[in-house]
Amino acid sequence: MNKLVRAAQTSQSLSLAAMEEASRVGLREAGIGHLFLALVINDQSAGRALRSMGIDLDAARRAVEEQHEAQLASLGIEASFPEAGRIVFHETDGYAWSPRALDLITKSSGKNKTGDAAAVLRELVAEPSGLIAEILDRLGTTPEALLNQLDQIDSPAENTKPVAAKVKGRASGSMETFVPAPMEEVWEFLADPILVPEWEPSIGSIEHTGQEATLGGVWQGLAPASHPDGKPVNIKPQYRRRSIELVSAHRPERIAWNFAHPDVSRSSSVLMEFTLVNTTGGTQVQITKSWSRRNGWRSLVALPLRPIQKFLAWITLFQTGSAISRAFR
Amino acid sequence: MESSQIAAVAADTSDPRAGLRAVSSLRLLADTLELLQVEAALRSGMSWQDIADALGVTRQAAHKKHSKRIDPTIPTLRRNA
Repeated sequence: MNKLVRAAQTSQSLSLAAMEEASRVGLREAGIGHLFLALVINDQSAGRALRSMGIDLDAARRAVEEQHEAQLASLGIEASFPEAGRIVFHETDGYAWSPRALDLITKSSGKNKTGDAAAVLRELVAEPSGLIAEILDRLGTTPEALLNQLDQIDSPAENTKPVAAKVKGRASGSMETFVPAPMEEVWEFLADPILVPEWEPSIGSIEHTGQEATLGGVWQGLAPASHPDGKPVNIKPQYRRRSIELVSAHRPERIAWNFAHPDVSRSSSVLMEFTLVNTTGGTQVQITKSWSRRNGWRSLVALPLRPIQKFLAWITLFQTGSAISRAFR
Repeated sequence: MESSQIAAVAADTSDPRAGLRAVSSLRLLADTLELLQVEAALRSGMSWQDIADALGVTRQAAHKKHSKRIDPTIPTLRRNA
């Protein structure tokens, strides 16, 4: 993967996670504290380094809040921040990075820097205000110790990524995400047909049949009728209905769902496969989405569009991945 | 508000670095409380003009800053409704 793509994907996933963290405490601007929290739940080496030092999301959230309250106390102001609620990022608008945080992210993809989450973390621990160093101190560590740990984890040998097996005639996309919850719980979440709308953005509701989640079971889903902000969704009637089949279930490490449009002739179905791996502080989930390519002249027309297709696949995978992680935060 | 009673404002300027950092925490708290109060005001039926008057800014400024950020399920009054 080239640096540009890596940097873009890193900043996309860090932005989403940081702004989600900002949204739950009633803020619309994500600062360096939120960037730190986003790194704690990051799927790359930066997140692994933080979590391997015993820093999980709950501890990190607490440390950030306590640090701000301590700073207020130093001004002689005894105040506590309003209690954090749920993540409302998707229902609200007007989000932005604080200039300081944006500056750090921009620098991390500069000359001679890798542009991945580890590069962002390196910039963050060196930020000049000292806020992050103080937060790390509350978490029982120091910037130096963290950088040492990052150097160990970030060695090239650790970075061999599993690549989805290529199948002839099928296109696929794959991504990894970190979920701050035990593997068994994540599996249960992904195996529940009622919860499919939580992680698959193209499904708004599932017909509740009360049927057990068994292999080969088929459920009917409907496309969402409205956006999170209440505006109606325009969708062709034949694309409203979707059938969802549980095609593979190996508790607790693998599960796969097949999505099809029953009202569209010649519709191609999409296979979503999840592979779960236990990791420090949670579960690493690999999501692979695959579908069959069109045959005949259409495949030639589609050929030049493949980079765009790949990008769109990445977007939907990214939405699914972040939705799974969000469900456990 | 009980939780944010100002106990004593220490005019301690002996460590300006820590002091400045503390001011940024104060801004964060102010931003959080502002959004919280604006949402509460809209829920109680106040108009953007009422909110702006209380904040000491123009109606346009209040609307521009907050209209997108608030919980979209709050029914907001239109000016000439």
